[in-house]
Amino acid sequence: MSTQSTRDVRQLVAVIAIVTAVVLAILALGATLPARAQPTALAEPSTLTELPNEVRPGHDLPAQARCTYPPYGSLFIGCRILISDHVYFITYHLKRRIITRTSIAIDGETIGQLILAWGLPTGIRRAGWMSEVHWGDRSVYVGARTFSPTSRTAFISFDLEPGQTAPWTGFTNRDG
Amino acid sequence: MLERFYAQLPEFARPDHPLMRYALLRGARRQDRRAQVLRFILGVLLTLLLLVPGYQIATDVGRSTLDAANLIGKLFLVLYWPLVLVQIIARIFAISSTSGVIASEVQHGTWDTLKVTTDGAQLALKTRWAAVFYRLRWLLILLVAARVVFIVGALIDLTSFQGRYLDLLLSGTTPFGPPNVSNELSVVLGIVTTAMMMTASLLMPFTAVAFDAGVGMLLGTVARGRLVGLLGQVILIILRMVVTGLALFIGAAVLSLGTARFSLFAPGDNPVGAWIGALFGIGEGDLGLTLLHLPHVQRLWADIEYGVLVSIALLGYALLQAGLANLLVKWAGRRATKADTL
Repeated sequence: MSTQSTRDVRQLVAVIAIVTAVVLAILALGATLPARAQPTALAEPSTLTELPNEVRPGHDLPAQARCTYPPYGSLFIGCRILISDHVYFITYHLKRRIITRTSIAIDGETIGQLILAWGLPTGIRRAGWMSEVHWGDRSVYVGARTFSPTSRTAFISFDLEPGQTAPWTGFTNRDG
Repeated sequence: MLERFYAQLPEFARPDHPLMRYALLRGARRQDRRAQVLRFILGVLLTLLLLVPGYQIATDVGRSTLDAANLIGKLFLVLYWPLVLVQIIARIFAISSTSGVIASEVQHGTWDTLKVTTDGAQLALKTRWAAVFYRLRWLLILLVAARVVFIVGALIDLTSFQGRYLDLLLSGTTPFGPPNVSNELSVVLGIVTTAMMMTASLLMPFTAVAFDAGVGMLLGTVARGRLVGLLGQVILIILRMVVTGLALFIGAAVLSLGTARFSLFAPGDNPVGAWIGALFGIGEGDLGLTLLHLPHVQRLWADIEYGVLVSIALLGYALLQAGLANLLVKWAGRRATKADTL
């Protein structure tokens, strides 16, 4: 009783802080561990990994591709092609005469799902609300006001060679 | 339950302590049942009225939708500014209710009686400092209840992505995220950090009020005259509002939540400035409220180098505030006694 009556305010706050932190850590563990124990459904999302042979970067432009005229002097031309109900968007290098990038719209998988499926990204390119997350020569496009694990992806692209990116430092939203 | 809690408090802070009973009785307004009901209804109406500007700010005056994945996230965005306003009111009340303690005792003719009893003056100051928490109990309950709801929301969020949301928030960040540490260690560090961050957020409304009440008390011992005391109180309240406003402004700029930018606190230009700005912004601005909304936590952890450590430092900040509050009250007590013996 006497120790309680002489208890200092600092001691009281320290005890409350320790007890609260331990309780919250247990709650956080309780929230995450059971969910982590469930069998994972983080397999490769559909249509994201394999490109038809004729539209792979490095190949020549397929004859069925429909292209728009590029601006004068441009080295690249943008084309599209329909294969098995999927529209592929192609960037074709006019001088080298090869496909340098192929993109396809994807069905709204979140960027968080893709990171869990494919591992840590190798880099990121950001401009305004646009983020391009890279895994080597594969990248996904995300357009979101706040770039977060729940942001939906819009396109996946396959490049001839990995582009210049900033290193992956997490779900950054900074402007400066 | 409440009795057991009171038993943990220092004697002077218990509601059955004679000086505390006296302080609370004198501070209480005599009201009949009808006036109490009217006050309650007015309080509810005012709270509801605060939700309108809260919603307008969160949606940029209807120009955008609430940028949150779930209901509790949306609730956070709507309640953020009303809660910050309530916090500012609580802090101003803490300053103003302690800065005139000695003047008030002198006015009531009780100061001479207090100072002749052993530790009477010191005890009176400590009691009046602790009484602030009883007077602000409804505001503090409101602030803590809202924070508990947001913590529940954050814990629900942590279960998403099959319990790997924390892994995603930490991925690529320094120093706790892969590839800097292994996945397993990252999760453990993430849970410990999250627990410390949430603890800080729960403690801060109390430690901030304690600190401000302590500052007010010290002012009361410095400026005892009625006019000088009032002037000091006004200056202190203005200073408090300026510091809070500046902290909110810097905090929003560092986390890229508004349009304001300062190169001094820009994470890309000045990482150290950004880190200090984030700690100042969160610690003095919204008292850790931001850290109960995981999309904002993600900004802190990913946008600022070693931003994860701000979450831990905030708990240290809260404990430091509590320690300083304790020191200020003791100092004020010593000053009051010393000045009387002169």
